[in-house]
Amino acid sequence: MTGTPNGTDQVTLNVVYNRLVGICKEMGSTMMRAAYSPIFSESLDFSCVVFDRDGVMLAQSEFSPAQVGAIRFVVKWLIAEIGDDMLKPGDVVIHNDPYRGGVHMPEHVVIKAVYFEDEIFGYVANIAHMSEIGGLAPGGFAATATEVYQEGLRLPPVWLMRGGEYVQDIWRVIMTNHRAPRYSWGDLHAMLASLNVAERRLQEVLETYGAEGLSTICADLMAHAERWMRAEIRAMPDGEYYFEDSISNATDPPQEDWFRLRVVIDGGGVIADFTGSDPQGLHVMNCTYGVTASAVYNAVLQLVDNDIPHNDGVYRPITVIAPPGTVVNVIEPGASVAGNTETHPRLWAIVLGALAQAVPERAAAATGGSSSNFLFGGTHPDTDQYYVHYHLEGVGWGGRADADGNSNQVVPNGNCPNTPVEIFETRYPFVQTAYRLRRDSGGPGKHRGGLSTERIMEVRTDDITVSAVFNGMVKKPRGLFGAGGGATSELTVKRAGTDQFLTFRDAFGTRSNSRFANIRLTHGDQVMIRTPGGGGYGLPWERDVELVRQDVEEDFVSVAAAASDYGVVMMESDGEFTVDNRATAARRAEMLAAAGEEE
Amino acid sequence: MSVDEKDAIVPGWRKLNWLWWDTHVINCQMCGQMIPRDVWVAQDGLEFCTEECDGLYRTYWLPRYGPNRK
Repeated sequence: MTGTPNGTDQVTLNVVYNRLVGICKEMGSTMMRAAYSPIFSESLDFSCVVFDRDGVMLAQSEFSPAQVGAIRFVVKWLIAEIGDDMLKPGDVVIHNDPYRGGVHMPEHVVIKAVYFEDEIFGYVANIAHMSEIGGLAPGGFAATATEVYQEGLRLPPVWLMRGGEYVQDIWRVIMTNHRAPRYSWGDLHAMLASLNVAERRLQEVLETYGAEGLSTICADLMAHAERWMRAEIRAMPDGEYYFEDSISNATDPPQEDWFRLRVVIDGGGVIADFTGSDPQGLHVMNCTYGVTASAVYNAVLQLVDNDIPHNDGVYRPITVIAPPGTVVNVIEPGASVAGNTETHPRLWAIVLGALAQAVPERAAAATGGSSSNFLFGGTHPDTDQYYVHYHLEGVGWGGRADADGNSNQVVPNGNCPNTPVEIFETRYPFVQTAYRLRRDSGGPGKHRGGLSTERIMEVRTDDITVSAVFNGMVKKPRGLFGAGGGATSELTVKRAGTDQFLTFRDAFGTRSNSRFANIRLTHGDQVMIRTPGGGGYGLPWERDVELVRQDVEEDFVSVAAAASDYGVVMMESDGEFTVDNRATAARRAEMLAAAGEEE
Repeated sequence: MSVDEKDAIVPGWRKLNWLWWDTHVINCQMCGQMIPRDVWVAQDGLEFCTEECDGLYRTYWLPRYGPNRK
């Protein structure tokens, strides 16, 4: 017995849960194999979910955790809004409205009701980042947008399929407004295929257990997850924990938006209250409610047992308060396309910053916190067809209580592999001339922040239009417990025939170095992307001297930084690095004394 | 579009009567979630997504941020 309301045994719970998760994973595999765009096939920027007939989440596969919080709401609200009595077998409803639970305009949700014995049992749904949706700039990232109308084609809940037939009017609207309709056609069909696979598989599960039997087991599964989650939270010390941080636009002077968070842990429940955060801005960094909820969920889930089933029950103990009209809950007509990619990881770090006060041994320092979005499009010289691409980069992750941060990983909320160089060069007229880890980009700490990357790309066409949204260009990603922050990000361009990389403001007069749209490059121009590093954890002069020596040997840390940041004095001879123990002891004693004076 | 005014001061669930061409949304005045169809109208006319949010408003939010906060 598991102590669940209906007494379902543990074996049955596990079998059913894994069958439901298996459905979600098969949806993802279908997406990956059927897609036209690398953002589906390589980056896996989607999430696949199964719901009951009330829109309550039964299982999910978080290919992209950024979407988990959103999809918990978006399907329930969609069903409530349109009414399940309006649906019939074979219908598929689509929408990408950020104000209806979506995460940002490129993410499109499609849902299909699953019938069993002529009744709706539940829904299968897919939320996925489409690579091009029209709007101000190619690639679906209108970096300089000030309102939603510039961000692309916004669809309220509308029928994409009726009774298994195309709703041709909607398809024609979509194909007319997207810059690369051939890709939209293929990617939408990949999404539809995933729904069809999930529908069949869920019906197979229903054949085994029946609708009532499966509903009973799912109710117990959710109760099991909720009870487990509450026990995990109960193990954290009750209290109120406050944290605040900001994001910056690399203008002159920089513009900041502040996020203020009070976390209340009280008897197995968590309240994440963003009251007091700045009003929404005339920029793309605003978050939807779904993004803010996802950031909170992702941060809390990082601190608890990985094995808790991820269904609606795991989220029930968490309450998110996100005042409408602020940077954490944008209302119409606010723009929000980068809230999911840039602000989301910052919110995640803010939640961890607050919770680090309660459970310091489980929290991590800030990640690089930027998807480092670089978008481009144009007519391909080889095919004469319009192409677009949404490129994202890895960053350094924050150091932890027991380990260094990971290097070159996409932000934790994204979990998206970036596009391999081979795919990139095959499809797009850019050649990669460098791609490497950045020395000294990890925040110094007892546990070093992860290293970020440097990539240089050269244009191989007469005309390409690029846009970008970066974060972490002004402020270093924060370290924890006396550690240093990670390196800031940089985005520069070297025009053909010149020998110097310049910021886009210096080269093209953009208002911001971190957010710009529709810059046209040509043959021989080079773009250099340097992403932000992760913050360190703990005092740098407490880092094991041998680890610092290895970092220098691996070229992760320079000899100069080893001395200045870690107090480890090195000597090099024939490529071998040795530690000057006496000088190191003296240097570390100085650093300790200086820290004491500061306090 | 919103709740009928004659009902607004009586606590309870109300259905939002959207016109088909009206696509804007309203949000819960406590947690900020979208309210898609059914709205809980409190005694003071505030609109919440659930009764729980009404309770949270009175037990959590008002003591911290309301006019009589400590």
